Amino acid sequence: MTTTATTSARRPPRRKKLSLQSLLIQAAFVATVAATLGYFAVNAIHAVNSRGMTAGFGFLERPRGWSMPATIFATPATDTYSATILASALNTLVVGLAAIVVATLAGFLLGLAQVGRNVILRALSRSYVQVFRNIPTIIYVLFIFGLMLSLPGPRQALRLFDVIYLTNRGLRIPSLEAPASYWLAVSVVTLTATAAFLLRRKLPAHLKLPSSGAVVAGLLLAGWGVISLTFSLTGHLSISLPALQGFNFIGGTTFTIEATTLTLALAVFGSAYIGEIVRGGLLSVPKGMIEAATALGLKPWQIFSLVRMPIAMRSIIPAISNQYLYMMKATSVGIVIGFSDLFAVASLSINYSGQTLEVLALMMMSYIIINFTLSRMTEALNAHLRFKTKGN
Amino acid sequence: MQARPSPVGQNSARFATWIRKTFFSTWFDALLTIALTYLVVRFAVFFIQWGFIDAVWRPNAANLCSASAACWSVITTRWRLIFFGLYPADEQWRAALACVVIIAAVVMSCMPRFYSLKALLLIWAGALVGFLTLMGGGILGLRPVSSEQWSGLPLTLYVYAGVILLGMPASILIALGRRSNYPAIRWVLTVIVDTVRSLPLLAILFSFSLIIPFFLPSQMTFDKVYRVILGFTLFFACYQSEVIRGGMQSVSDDQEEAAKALGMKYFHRMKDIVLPQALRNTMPMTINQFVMTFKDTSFIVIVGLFDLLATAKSAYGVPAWSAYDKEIYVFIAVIYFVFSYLMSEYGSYLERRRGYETR
Repeated sequence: MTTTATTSARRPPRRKKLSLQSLLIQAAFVATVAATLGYFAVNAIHAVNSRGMTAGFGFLERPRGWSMPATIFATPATDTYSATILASALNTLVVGLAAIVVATLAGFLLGLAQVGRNVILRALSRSYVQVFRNIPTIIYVLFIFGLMLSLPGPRQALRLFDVIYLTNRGLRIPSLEAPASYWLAVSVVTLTATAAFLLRRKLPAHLKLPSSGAVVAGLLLAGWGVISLTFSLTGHLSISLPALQGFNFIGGTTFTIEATTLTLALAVFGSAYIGEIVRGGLLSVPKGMIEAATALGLKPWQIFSLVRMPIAMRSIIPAISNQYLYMMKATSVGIVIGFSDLFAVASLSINYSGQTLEVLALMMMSYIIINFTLSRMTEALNAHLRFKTKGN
Repeated sequence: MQARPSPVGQNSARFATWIRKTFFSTWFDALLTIALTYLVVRFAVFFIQWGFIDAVWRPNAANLCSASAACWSVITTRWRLIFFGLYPADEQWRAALACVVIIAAVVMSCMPRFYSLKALLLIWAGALVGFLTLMGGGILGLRPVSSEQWSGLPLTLYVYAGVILLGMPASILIALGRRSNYPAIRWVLTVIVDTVRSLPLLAILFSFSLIIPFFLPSQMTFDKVYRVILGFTLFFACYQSEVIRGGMQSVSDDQEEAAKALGMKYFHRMKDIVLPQALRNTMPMTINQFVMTFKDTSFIVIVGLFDLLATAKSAYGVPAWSAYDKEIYVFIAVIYFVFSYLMSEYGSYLERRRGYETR
């Protein structure tokens, strides 16, 4: 039995002959997998029926009936299950992204400190990285939560420049009071700019769209500035600062202690790992390159920004993207402190609604989507930054 | 003409130059050194004061503890609960011995001397038999202790050992399957591995402890510990299979082709040529995975197993000790740190040594 070769250029040059033996083996393998899954399915259906549970996703339209624990995006208890799961996914994303941003900043500083010139700074940052890399995330979460609970109340709040307050009720930060139309305008402008930038090579050339990232970013900022100015001049946009009144704060918005704890714990853990990655990347720059750059007469800061960082980034980016994926999934630890992330809400929904398999399937689907999107984005970044050699 | 400076003077001059060049080479450097030294000294003084000088070390001294100094008394009083949980007090020496057995097995598996299939099988078979006899009892005159009372450090080590033991062969099988010539096998395994790697560990542990009762007939139930070990093994095997796959790719094709030319069949080729080299090449990354798995065992407290972290939390759960959770967490962090740091330092040492060998 031989296959007929197609004329498509993408086909591999040779094809193994399909043999009866290989077909049989593959069929046997697939049949075993299918049989196991079928056995599980039969048992599951039997279990569902014998417990009197209703299968199917109809429960998503039912009102929830229970109140969500600490959350950033609040939903009343009368909201449907689908709204609840969506809110919890947004919680996960916000905390994950905040932790990623803080960890990246701190991690890069740590990485630079570890290869810097000052001996004491090197020793301090190296010990920080070595110690904080080797402690599990859940211990950070529990420890920081204990610390946060013992913070003083609003009257003795820890303050930063009198605009940010940290108390045992959370982190109080200034907020932007704006109507929905403002956010709509901002998102429209952002989406257009992003789309134009991503599609810049595919659009007709005579439109003369800017192709440099910096120019597009500048235009985007200008656009935001114009919109904000218009809205604030017509009196619809204002910044609300938190102020102590009586026993509590008015104005601003609160980032609950659960959310703050989770972000901080993930940031501490992530910064130690990212510090190690950045150090490894910077150490992997060949010494010959740096010596050549010095011989050419480049100043130290030029050598750093034009030679060391770009080369180091190429080995840092794959490792860091792994770390980002891990941090996004590690938000599931929020369940120990009662934060409404995707996992916590899924387990509560299973408890209250009894729809175990459906909720589990939804939770897995959401994590797979988040993971897939994030890994695609970092893959694209990696491909963009990769050295173009013959193989690529 | 200058007289030659005396040796003593010369040494102190060299020392002074060294100090200047290392710590104060530029203005910014000098400022940074001074600022950091000041901060380090202040923090060290505070920490030594809080943690050692003013601290309370005596057991059962809750009344002496105050908020301004460390209360290590909670650990010296409750250490049996923290380490061994619900295990009967007079049999706890058995639990301690069982922990030592597992730690010794892990240490021996990391030494290249024992990195052959026969040796590893012997070590781990011996370790498991030893652990189960010591913990479970019932023979050799040891009082039987039911597995519901296994908690604390022995439970953590048991789950860890189970995951590694089941996960390593599983990961090798998955890695082999993913580079098999049969597209169906490759495709199914790729889907499984990519799905499992996209999910958080907690989700998998939770699903396994909930799902398995659904998918098996109601007469066949098993202990939560084994459901958790199964889920964790799947997670570990998927990650480790990626490491091994990378290792197999790093073994050059010539090796396998030469083996084929010599007439070796698939099983022999893999067992004697490709896998030993792949495993040796990826030993640092494998040890990294071992370290991460050890740290991840702290998650099993969330699915309801009474492991080291859970027993530690219960140690400060009583009103007398409820204010001293920070000392407990520092202690547990130190335990995890010691294990993880030693293992990862060993991994880096191996990596460095391999760097010397390949030159």
